[in-house]
Amino acid sequence: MESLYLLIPLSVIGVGVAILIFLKMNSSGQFDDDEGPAFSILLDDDRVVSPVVKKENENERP
Amino acid sequence: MNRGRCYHCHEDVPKNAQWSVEFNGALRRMCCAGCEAVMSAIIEAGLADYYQFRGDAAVSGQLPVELESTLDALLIYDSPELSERYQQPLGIGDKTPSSQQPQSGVKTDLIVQDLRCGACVWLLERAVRRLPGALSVTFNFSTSRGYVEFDPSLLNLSTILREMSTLGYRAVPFDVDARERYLQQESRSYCQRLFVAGIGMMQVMMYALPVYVSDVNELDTDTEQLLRWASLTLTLPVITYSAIPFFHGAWRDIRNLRPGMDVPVSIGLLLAFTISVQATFTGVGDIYYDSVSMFVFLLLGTRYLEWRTRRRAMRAIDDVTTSSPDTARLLCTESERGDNTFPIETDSSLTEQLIPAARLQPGDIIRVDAGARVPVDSLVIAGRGSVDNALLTGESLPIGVQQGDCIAGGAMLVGSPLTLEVRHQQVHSTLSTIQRLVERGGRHKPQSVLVADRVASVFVSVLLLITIVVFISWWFIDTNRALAVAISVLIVSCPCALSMATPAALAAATGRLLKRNILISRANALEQLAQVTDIVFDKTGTVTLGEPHISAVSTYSGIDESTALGLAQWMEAGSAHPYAQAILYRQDAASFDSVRSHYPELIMGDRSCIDHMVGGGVVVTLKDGRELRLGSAQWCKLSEGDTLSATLSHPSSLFILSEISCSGVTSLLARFSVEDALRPESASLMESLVRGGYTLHLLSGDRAVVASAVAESLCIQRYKSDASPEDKQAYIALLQAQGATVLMIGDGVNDAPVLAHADVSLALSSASSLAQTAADVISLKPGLQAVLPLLNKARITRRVMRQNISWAITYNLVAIPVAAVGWLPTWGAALGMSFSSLLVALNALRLWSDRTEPEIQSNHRRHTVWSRCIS
Repeated sequence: MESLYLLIPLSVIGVGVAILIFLKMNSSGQFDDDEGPAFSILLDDDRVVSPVVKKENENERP
Repeated sequence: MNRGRCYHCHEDVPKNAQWSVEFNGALRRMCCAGCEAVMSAIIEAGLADYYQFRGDAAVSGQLPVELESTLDALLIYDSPELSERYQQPLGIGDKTPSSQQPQSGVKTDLIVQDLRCGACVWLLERAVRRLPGALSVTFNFSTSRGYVEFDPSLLNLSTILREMSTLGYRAVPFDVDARERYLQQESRSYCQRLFVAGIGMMQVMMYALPVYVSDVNELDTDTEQLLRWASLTLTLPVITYSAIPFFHGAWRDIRNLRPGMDVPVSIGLLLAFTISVQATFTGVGDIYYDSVSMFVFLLLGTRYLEWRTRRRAMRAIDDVTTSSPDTARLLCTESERGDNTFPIETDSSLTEQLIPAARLQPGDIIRVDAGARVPVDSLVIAGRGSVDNALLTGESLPIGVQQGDCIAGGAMLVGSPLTLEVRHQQVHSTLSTIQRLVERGGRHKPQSVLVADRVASVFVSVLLLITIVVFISWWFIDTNRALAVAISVLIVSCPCALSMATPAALAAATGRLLKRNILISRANALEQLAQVTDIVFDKTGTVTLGEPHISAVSTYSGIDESTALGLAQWMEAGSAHPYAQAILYRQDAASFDSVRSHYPELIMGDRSCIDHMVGGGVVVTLKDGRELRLGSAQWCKLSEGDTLSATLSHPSSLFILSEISCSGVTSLLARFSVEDALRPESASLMESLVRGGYTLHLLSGDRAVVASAVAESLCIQRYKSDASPEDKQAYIALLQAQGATVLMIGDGVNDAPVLAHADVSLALSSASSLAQTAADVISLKPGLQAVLPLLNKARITRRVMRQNISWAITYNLVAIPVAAVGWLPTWGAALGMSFSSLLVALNALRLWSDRTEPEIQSNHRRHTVWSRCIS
């Protein structure tokens, strides 16, 4: 039973850390959109942008 | 080949369309050049995956010609005034890490229209992010907002908007005003409070469990004391942070001497917490940390759900802002004008200049085209026309204006272009005033909620009184137990169940409906929907599609069909009236030359002889005094015989063209039958509603023969034709006087005042934004699909609410006496309360499920006498 004297305070600290992490995530705006990200994970791709488009964009620029 | 539907926007492809794009090895047919351009742009940009991932059809693209002018107009956002307003320098806390920030990085917020699905977000983020100079790009699907950080030395705001327009999305920058910031902060703080309470609750329950399950001497005092201190540590943030909104509410209620549910909630929380703290310090007595944190979490959860729906409604107001144009066509400024009072519109030396509307100063002269919105409050100095205030006041009929009249900013110009003098700066203009009014209206509580509050405050006062009486009685019976028993009473009756009974059910139902694209904008609309006995439909645009077309043309007096159409098209050019649009849509009109063979003095571009008369139609005055009129039979001054022959037995709306000679003799030239097809779902919906015991009504501004044809084909027994907005209001007032609870369903534009008069109102998605915020329920689903699920949900919600309330009352009736006589230990009271509140919450959560809902049952007022009301 002595282990409780260590484990219970540890659990309190654990909860404190969880709350702090959550506050940080929340204030960075991660929870502002609760629909869009569900799609974006499906659409993730890292393909390189085709050079044609890049050139076009450069032409567009003043 | 995919004949039939456009690959991009899923619209029907016209017969002779030759547009197509090659994609995935097949030629995809497109409905217009706009869609072709957008799809090519998407594929060329390597973003073709969009078509595989999207969940919904895209918005139809703009025609290249229109797009060109849209793109040019975007350049205005690079002007210094607008850059200053919309682009803030990057600072600490922005997404781009400061090490990567260029010296001059800026951020801007966008309102994006036409976001249809997650794939749109993906498409936009990819497309904008690869523009050179873009630092951070985020689009938020649930709020339709975008956020872009970029380097202004490499990239212009207009280039970003241009890129988005090319892909088919319209975006407007907006300055995050106080409300938007408030909404975001409030959302985040709700989220935080909920999280703290939730995690606190879970952990405190873990600590409580050993005490509940262990045998008498299994836990030694020290361990138990340790658990208590740990619980206290975790309950402290729940009480001092998460529960703050309840304490605020209670304090406000006490100051106003109107105790609401927050008062016993707060007293119960504080008392239970104080006693637990005392027990923790002294080591004697019971603790209720678990009950306290669970109570806070459950209550906060229901309030969070409510808040989310309210936030959605408030954002709808923001979107109205974008309906006001941000640009204006300036003729000359006040200083250039000087003392000249010359007729400005004839001075050809003045060139128009496109400037941001925010730069307009009182005294400036601007020109506004027909069909455009007036940017700011202004005075007419030349021209005659009419303005449509539907967006501002809900007034459906355009109002005639002439020199010297004032026009409110945000009004739409119909008829002919006007030259205006600016009266107020944009910030002081009427549109922003009305927005403020709407916001204020949104904060007011409806009558029945106020009644519920009053009942609640009586309950709370009685409860507090009982507690005091119990405390005093026990003081004389057994002083030691007095406090414990009083707390038992307060906690066991702790109005959890009662105070959550209604809001929890409402929040769950509202949230569920929102998921199905039905937006409840007034809190107690659902309660009233369940009581509805009579449903009143507006005809045009509600049971019909609202897209009239000319089904037949009959001509008289020697004029032929195509010439009549050509003349009518010339008279109606530029008009936004749906019937005018139907005429303009006809492809088979004669060229203007053949019109001139009948009326040689008409000139194609010279429209000065045309007048729009509000509530009537269009009139052309010829030089010799003859008049050509287009509009209703009455307006065209048809003789009785002509009216009969023209309107007899035609169950469609009529548009008449007539000529009136100098001596006042009218001759009928042509008759256009205008027909508006019924919505495909109308008939089956009416059938279900009649079976459900509702009395149905149809209101129409159309002639009796049209209204009766529609009513008969839909089995609607009661209808009123030729109804003006005032008539419609009177009709609803009459029904209400007979004891009916009226649901009015309309498109929200032409009948905003009528919607406001009904007990509950439902506006369809095509309605203008401002009218939508005035309606109690807004359907974002196409057509009438929302009606049945809405009524069903309202009934189930009412049932759940009744179950909850009867449970809460029964529970309190049993528990309070038991606690008052001292039979209930405090932990038992806390357990009872938690169990009871959980039951209520779980019962409410059943409303989240979408299991096949039973058909509307007939438990309604019986049909009253079958009667017809024809005025």
